[in-house]
Amino acid sequence: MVRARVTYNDNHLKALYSLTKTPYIVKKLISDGLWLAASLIAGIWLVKYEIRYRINNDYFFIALAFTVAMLRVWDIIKLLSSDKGELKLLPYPCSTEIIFGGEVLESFKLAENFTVHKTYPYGTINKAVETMNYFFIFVEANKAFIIHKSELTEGSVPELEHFLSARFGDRFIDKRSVKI
Amino acid sequence: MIRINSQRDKRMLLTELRMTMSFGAVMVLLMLLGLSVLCFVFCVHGVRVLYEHKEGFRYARVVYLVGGIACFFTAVSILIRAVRFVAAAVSLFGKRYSLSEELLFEDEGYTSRYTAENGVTVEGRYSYAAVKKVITYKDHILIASPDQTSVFRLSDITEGTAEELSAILAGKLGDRVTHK
Repeated sequence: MVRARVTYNDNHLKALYSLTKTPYIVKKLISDGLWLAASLIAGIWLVKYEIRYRINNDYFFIALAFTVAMLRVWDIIKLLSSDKGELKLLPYPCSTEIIFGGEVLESFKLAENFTVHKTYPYGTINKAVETMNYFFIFVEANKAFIIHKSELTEGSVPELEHFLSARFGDRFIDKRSVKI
Repeated sequence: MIRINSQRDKRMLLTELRMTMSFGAVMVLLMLLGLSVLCFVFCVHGVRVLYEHKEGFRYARVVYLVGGIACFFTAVSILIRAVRFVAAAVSLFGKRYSLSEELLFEDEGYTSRYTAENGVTVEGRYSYAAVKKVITYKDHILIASPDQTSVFRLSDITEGTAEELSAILAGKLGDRVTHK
């Protein structure tokens, strides 16, 4: 049996984001980049048009185009500099105990005013991923337990690796070379 | 102690939706759909302008082209979200949905137990301080706590009475109870 006790903090979120961010960033960059290009080209064209024909009544649209462009640039800077995307910690302090072994994966969420005990048959778990420092157990496609290897309270890392590869087969993805 | 054996079915889902959907949420959904339609209209308009002014302003053509593509991507991403939402709702209402939940209300808090169709079991013990909100609608009651929302009918009470339950909820939760 292997046990882990996790109290989620920013590092867990950063690790999960690093593992899953590429498709998210690509999708956002396409849309932001296109809007930026459209508004910049519109702004530059309007300025040229005003200069060439000496017209002075398109200031509002020029300002609008460059404002949209600036907002998009700000979005892109935020997107590229963010280290945890839109992931947020739970609004209440809690710790989670995760138990591997037997026929089901067990989790106990312990908070100040409540406790939740869940059991997941291994067949229902989406996948498990191991990186250099973490185990990610995706109980649903977009919901995971994030366990730092130092957070195991019973059992060892090789024991958990062996257990996951035996239980999950192809659903256990070895990414130990990834520095997360 | 009050015991409730709640049978959640499709009709209950509809009631739950009615209880949780607010006027604001509906308006946001409609605005998103409106924005998507606007983007598509601009996209089509852009293609028409490009075709009609083949020999016209070079910059204007580029603006319309890039703007059209940006609008197209925005519209498609909004529509994908709307389609996913509708598909999730259709599949939810299309398949057999039946969930038995057992609820026990005591002096300090309540316990909720259920087993999902995929075999995941959940047992949550919540003190009344953890309850986020309670909504009552006709003879239905919805209790939202962290990680768990329970819905039941007053006729599902198998031990204790509806009056006792109402007294507990009113006494322990005060202004967190909303009557719709």
